[in-house]
Amino acid sequence: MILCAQETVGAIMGDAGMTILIGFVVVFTVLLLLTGVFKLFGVAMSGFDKGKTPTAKPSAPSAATPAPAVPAAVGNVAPVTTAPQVQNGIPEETVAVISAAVAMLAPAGMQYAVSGIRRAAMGNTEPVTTTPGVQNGIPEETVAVISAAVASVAPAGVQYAVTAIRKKEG
Amino acid sequence: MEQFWQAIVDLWEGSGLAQLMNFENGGWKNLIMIAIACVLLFLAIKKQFEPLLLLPIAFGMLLVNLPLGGVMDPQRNALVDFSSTELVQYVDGTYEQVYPVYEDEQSVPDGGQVETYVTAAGVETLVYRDTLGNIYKAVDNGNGTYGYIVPKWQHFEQGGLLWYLYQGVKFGIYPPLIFLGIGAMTDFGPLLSNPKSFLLGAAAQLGIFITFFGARCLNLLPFAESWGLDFSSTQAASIAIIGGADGPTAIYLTSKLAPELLGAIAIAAYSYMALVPIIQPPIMRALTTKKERSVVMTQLREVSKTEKILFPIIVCIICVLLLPSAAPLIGMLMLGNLMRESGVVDRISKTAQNELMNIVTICLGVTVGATANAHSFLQPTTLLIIALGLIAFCFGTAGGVLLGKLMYYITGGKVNPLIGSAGVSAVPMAARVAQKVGQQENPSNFLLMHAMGPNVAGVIGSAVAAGVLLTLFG
Repeated sequence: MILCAQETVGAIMGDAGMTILIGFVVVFTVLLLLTGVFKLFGVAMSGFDKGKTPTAKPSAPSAATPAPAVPAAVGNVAPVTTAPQVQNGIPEETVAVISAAVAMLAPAGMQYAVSGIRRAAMGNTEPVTTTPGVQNGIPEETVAVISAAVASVAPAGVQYAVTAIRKKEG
Repeated sequence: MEQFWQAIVDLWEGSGLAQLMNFENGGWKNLIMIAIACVLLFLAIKKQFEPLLLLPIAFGMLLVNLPLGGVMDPQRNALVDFSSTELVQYVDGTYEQVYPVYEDEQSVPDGGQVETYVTAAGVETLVYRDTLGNIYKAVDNGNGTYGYIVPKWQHFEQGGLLWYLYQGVKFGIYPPLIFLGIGAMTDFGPLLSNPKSFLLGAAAQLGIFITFFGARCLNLLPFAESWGLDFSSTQAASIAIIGGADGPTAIYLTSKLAPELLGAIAIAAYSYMALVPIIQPPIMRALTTKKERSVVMTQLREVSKTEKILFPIIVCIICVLLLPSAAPLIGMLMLGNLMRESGVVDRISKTAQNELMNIVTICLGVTVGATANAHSFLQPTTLLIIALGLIAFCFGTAGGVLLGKLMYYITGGKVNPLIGSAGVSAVPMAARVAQKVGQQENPSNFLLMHAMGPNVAGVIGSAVAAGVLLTLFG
């Protein structure tokens, strides 16, 4: 009986241990392979892009965006000096208008900057508050008003969603 | 008057309320399940715990535990023999068919009597008469032997509504369709710009395998069998996948390996996904120092459209070639993503993200909840599943953070270990938690996009882990 119990213990732990080992090896192997493939791919694409003429179109995530035309007479309007992460295809002018609208809606003494803009599905009612990236301390009401303002500046047939808003220092 | 009261009594005895109040026959269990369903509805509606899935799951649980509703009753088919009279009618051609008839051809035994029979319409036909005097249509095989047709009718009892919808879960259809929608909604750009995130997604699957080991080792306890702790490998694998923090993957794997545990596992998985902001931060703080949490990572490189288009194709080819069992999940995830990134099928990409996703979510949620009947859910194993699921989640978070720490040291402090916790597949909640915890140390630190890389890699990682478990135990 003792021998049977030991075999059972050994069998169970052996099987379980083998499963862990196989599982980890396979998962890491597959994802390591993907890491290597896409690292090489990225290097190849970077090298290919270096030979191409640079375009002025902004693209996610780190393209520099020119400062927007700032509406007059609002004390806390601030130009976007850091690049928002803007989805491909959204015109610069729209980014500028949205940034200015957000800046205008900030309460007195506060400055907000848009950190990300993307196209949303038409009829998407997801509020910005449930989108990642709204910095703590920005009131939900402000976020809701900003969402409405963004929706109002979108061209016909297009809907934009602000994916990140942060307080601007200084 | 007596007839009236008898009818009232019959109505009462046939009602679900009478069954609920019949405590001797387990009616109290249904009451408990109804109460649990109501608590889950409260969590979904008031506390907004993953409401898109928890609400239909809770309601499915409520429906199935209302007695005599029959929403999950299975369809029953049985073959019923024809009576002697029906056999004669069948040969005469005067049989009034009510149900489908199944015909089985058998060989006339040696010595069996084949004779000519004149039907009611005056047509001569060959029949076989068995020892009981029943007649069957005979078939001349042309080589001196005969066969005879034995008709049976298929007695068909229709199943419940949710039983038919549940077939999408049982056959593994709904979870891959949800993955199609998830792929269409996911931007893999942050992952592509930092491919090392794949490894963080892999490390976060630690919870799955540790929990599998723990669940199997419960068998070694002396009271394991009496307490229902003797989990088989398939059951342990289904419980362990909760650690992947991926609802569709958990449901897909459990429906294949341990469908009897589906209700408990689905509820545990979605509850923990909603509790990510509560469960993860203490683990993240415990495993990292303030200096590590304050690391500001360099901005991600730009990812071209070509890369984003080729990504799903390459991932699909590599993953499915290496692990064919992961094909439904990985394949649908990458199809959805390709539809999104190609930009040429906007209409169907939007459908996948919206209408299709919503329809499948409704069907999946309600039917998974409906598997949580009193008999299967009110067992000690349910509480254990919930506890093991929490362990899986915690170890998954720890695994990602620990590999993040290793990367921090290897890169000389360029990687913030907090992004490792986002390797669990709860998109985008886990990434947002990493952002929040990082900002608590350094308010100007924006880790969100960096954390999205491991977050979406975790979706692929959990699907690969599920593929491994399916290959080993399926």
